[in-house]
Amino acid sequence: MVEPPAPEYLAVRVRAAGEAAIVIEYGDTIDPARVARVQALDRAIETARLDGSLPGVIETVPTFRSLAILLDPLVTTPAEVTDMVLQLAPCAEDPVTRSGREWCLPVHYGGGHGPDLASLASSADLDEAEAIRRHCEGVVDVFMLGFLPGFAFMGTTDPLLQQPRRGEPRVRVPAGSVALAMQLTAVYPWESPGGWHLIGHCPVALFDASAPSPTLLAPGDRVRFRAIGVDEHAHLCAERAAGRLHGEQFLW
Amino acid sequence: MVSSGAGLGIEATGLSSALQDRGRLGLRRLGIPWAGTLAESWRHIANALVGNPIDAPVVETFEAGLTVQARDGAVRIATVGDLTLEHGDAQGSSAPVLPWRSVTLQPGERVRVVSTGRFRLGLLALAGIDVPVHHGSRSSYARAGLGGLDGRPLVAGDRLPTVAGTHDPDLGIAEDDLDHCLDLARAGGGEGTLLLRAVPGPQDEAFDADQLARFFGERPWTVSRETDRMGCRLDGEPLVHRHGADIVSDAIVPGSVQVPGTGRPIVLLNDAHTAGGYTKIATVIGTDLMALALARPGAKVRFAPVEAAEGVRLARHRHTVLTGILERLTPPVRVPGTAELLGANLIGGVVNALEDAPA
Repeated sequence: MVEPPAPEYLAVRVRAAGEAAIVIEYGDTIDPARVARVQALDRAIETARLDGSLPGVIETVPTFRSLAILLDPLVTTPAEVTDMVLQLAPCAEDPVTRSGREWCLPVHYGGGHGPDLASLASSADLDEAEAIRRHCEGVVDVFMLGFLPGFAFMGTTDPLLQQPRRGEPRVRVPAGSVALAMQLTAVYPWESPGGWHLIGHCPVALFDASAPSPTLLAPGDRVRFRAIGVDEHAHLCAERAAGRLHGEQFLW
Repeated sequence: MVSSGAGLGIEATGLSSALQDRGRLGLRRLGIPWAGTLAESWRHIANALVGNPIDAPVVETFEAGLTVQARDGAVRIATVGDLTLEHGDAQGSSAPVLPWRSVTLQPGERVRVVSTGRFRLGLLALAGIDVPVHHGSRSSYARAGLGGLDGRPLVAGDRLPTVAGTHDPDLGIAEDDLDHCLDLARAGGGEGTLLLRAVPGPQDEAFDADQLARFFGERPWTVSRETDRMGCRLDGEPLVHRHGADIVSDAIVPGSVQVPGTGRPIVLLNDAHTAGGYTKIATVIGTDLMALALARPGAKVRFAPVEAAEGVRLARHRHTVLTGILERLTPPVRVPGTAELLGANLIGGVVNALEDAPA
């Protein structure tokens, strides 16, 4: 059997990140196939760690482009970990296997919570209802977390909803804001500055310091959004304020 | 373990004070940084001086002002750093006391940090400190309400509880080790300049050779006022990127030297976000990062390129130095007058500091 030529995203580069980390880089663009490779390697490393065959590896951090591996230089070295990981890389060729959870997150679109919905829709020649429908229609993958604790970069969004970041970032984006930028969507877990387009509000906590896992989402999870009306939104907000809203209620 | 009933009251926090241990490892994939003390080797020493297990948190305090008082019983504390300290008894008279040793405070007795000397922070360990683990660590990461005391840094009026402790003798570092202890927070370079060794990459390719040479050049960078537990922004002639500062987000590690569009490098520290979209020219090795983290605004900094393997060698050497310091802990030399004043217990055997040394 003739091996087909390896796609570009299978080529890995090992980059230095000090004496206590290496970065296995798969490329430098946002591409679901690339993210799948990163997450497959991540799972292979986790399996090897549980077997005890990667001593000194502290943790891994998957991103759009790469997998960072943080290590204890008193136990191992970047060179040793590189050798072991490159042996694992060919085993990590089953990016179809998914280990994540699946979520359905309620969103109240538009109005004061989604000040950019109208402009985002009109720049794509859509009405707001159609823009909302397109945001709810697809299932998005959690590519990575970062920027803020619990901030999940999800994609790929509908092509007609894709816009560059706002020219002028907002100084204050409210917690729970549902946002779009490039081919990505996210829910802000915290109030923070932000440059994405705000289209709605999700009443579910994306970060809960008292929960068994402090973040709702993890890399590899899949998410779809469900439009809710003002009454259901108010009800869910009240339930959350009363401490009766738990993340697990939104698994599907 | 049984609560001893005794605790350490926080009467004043200085610029800021928070509980920190090694850090909250394992959650970076969720966007949660390690936090943890900026002076990890000193934390080992402080905990060994009071007989604490190696995973115990310490109070990390910035600049002068931290004032603590024994409440509801005697407590044993140790302070480390280039500290000037004042001891106050319950009757209100005060006298100097030395860092790098443990002392037992009787109820009502106080210790105040008068100065943190050449560094911007110092540490205080409390024997038997008893605060809950939160997601694997006691480190305070206030941004997300994790760890510390109720998810926050310390404030005046707080009380740190203790479990009933052992009656170990007080300990101090060996007399000859003071310089070794301070050296853990220094980096070579002479004449007041920190020389930080750094491994080029992961995005050193984003800079032309002349810019890399300037980053690693003779002309020092200056620690700016924008420096905190997240990172340390450096002033100097801005670096120029080959094709712009933005990259698709990539992981950040402690020591990452990020160069955003302004061209002014930021060395990222324990509380920094876990991923970012700016080029990273180099990574400062762990051995030298503490020196930068403890430097004040205005400090001069140069960078020297090293291979990762050299960074590993230096990390292991640092560990050997630290282990030696811990092995040589000893009941402190009795200083006439001071010991009586402190009511220090100088009798008894020597705690095996090795038991608490890192593996």
